[in-house]
Amino acid sequence: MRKWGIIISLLATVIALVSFTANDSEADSLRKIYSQSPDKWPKPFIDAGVDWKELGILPESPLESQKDSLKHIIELGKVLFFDERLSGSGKISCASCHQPELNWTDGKEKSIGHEGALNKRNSPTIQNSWFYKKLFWDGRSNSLEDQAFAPINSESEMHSEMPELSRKLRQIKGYTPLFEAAFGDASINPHRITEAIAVFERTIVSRKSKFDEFLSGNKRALNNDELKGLHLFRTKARCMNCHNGPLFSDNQFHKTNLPFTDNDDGLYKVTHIEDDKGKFKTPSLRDVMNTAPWMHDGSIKDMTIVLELYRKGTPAADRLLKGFHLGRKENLSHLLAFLKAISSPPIEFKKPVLPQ
Amino acid sequence: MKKILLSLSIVLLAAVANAQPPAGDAKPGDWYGEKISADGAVAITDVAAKLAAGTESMDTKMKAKIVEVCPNKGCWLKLELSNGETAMVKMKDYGFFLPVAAVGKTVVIDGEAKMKTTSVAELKHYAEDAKKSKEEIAAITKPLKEVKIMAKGIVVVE
Repeated sequence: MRKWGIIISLLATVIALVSFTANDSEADSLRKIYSQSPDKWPKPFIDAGVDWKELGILPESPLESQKDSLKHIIELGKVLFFDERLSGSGKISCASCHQPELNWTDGKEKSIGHEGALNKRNSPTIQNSWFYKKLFWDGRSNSLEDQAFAPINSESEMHSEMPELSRKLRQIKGYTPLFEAAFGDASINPHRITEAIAVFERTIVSRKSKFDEFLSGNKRALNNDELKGLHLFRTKARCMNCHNGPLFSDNQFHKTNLPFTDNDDGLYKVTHIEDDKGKFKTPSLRDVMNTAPWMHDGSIKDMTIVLELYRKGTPAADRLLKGFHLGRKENLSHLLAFLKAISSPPIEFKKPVLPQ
Repeated sequence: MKKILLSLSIVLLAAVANAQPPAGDAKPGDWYGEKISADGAVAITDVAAKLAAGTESMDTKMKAKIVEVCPNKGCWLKLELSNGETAMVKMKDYGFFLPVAAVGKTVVIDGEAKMKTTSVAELKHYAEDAKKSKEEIAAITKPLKEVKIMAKGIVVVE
């Protein structure tokens, strides 16, 4: 009897050892493959007809090279972004829902607007927002300038009126030199206000992540789990059908058909095309682990649930979201590890002193 | 300095090109915001009369003719009232916009109407800001009453 016990425990040890080294060798071979330049990586799992780009190093802001010549307008935009006097109540600024220390989100399911009004959708980060062709979850805006009008004017968000706001800012003496420096004269109007805010927003980007370090040549920057996650992300888990390119977004709209959500028609409200019902913009996954809760309605607080949802696939959702199968040794936790490896704390940000 | 102006003008051009009202003809049946039916709408003049008589607010469907659309974004409208006055419409949550082609069309609007009074002092302030003459500013003696509507949905009927 004792002999059997010894044999069994020996066997167990051997199996454990074999699978351990097997595991390692799998990670080793992945490390070898992914240490090559991305054009030599395995082909990602992408459905026919999908326009995609390879993952890549975090791009800098398109204004990076002009930051010096644009510094006065960026400075004005920054001040406006943090000024609560832009709201009707004097209590809400852009930064109320886009807080620098929370990767420029507010950590809430849905933001709280004027006099406690609950907004309809989750507040997205402004990091890398220069990249989006359409703004808002439903894409109803074509530029950051245009987008900035909405929360300021919306009765349920900042509850201001643009003409009145211009008047209000004119009465704050400290704004005169800021507008002069930014635009050449002290005139204050809605277009200048939103333009300055938009230019400032275009300068806000993510901090480089472990994944960027890995791509820059530090082949130990990703651990085994993160590497396996990267591989799953690109292949079996089908993530790159939507989350592709250096910012992990295709700049398109897709129907996620969430189980918990209210009746929000999304893109359909803008295009009136039946097929667009329930479609929302693909968000970047940069810093995704710091921007909970997730989805357009902020309805999911646990990333494992998001991943499970996409694994199962959701009926009546976009054809790209048909679900996926993982092998015996593959694990959602590896995907989770990779999502952490593309998330970094926000770049330190010094809030501006407001003009008086 | 040249460089600053150049990069600014690029930024400005982008902004101007991007902030436009949506395209479209605003044909009968076209809708904006929430999809609503035109059934059960009352004339805007009836709503204005009730508000003038002291009703605080009315959440209802109103039929009216559009006389002006925000030329920059399509984010507000003005509606014709009977006495040459207009009612001001904004869109709920700043959530949708109308094409400029909607001017002259009759629409049904589902939303909340209120009477907003702007005091003489405020009106004088606005006039000063707009650099009006002293005479013009002195001529302001009556508060301005204006019907304001927050629209949830709009459908073109004629």
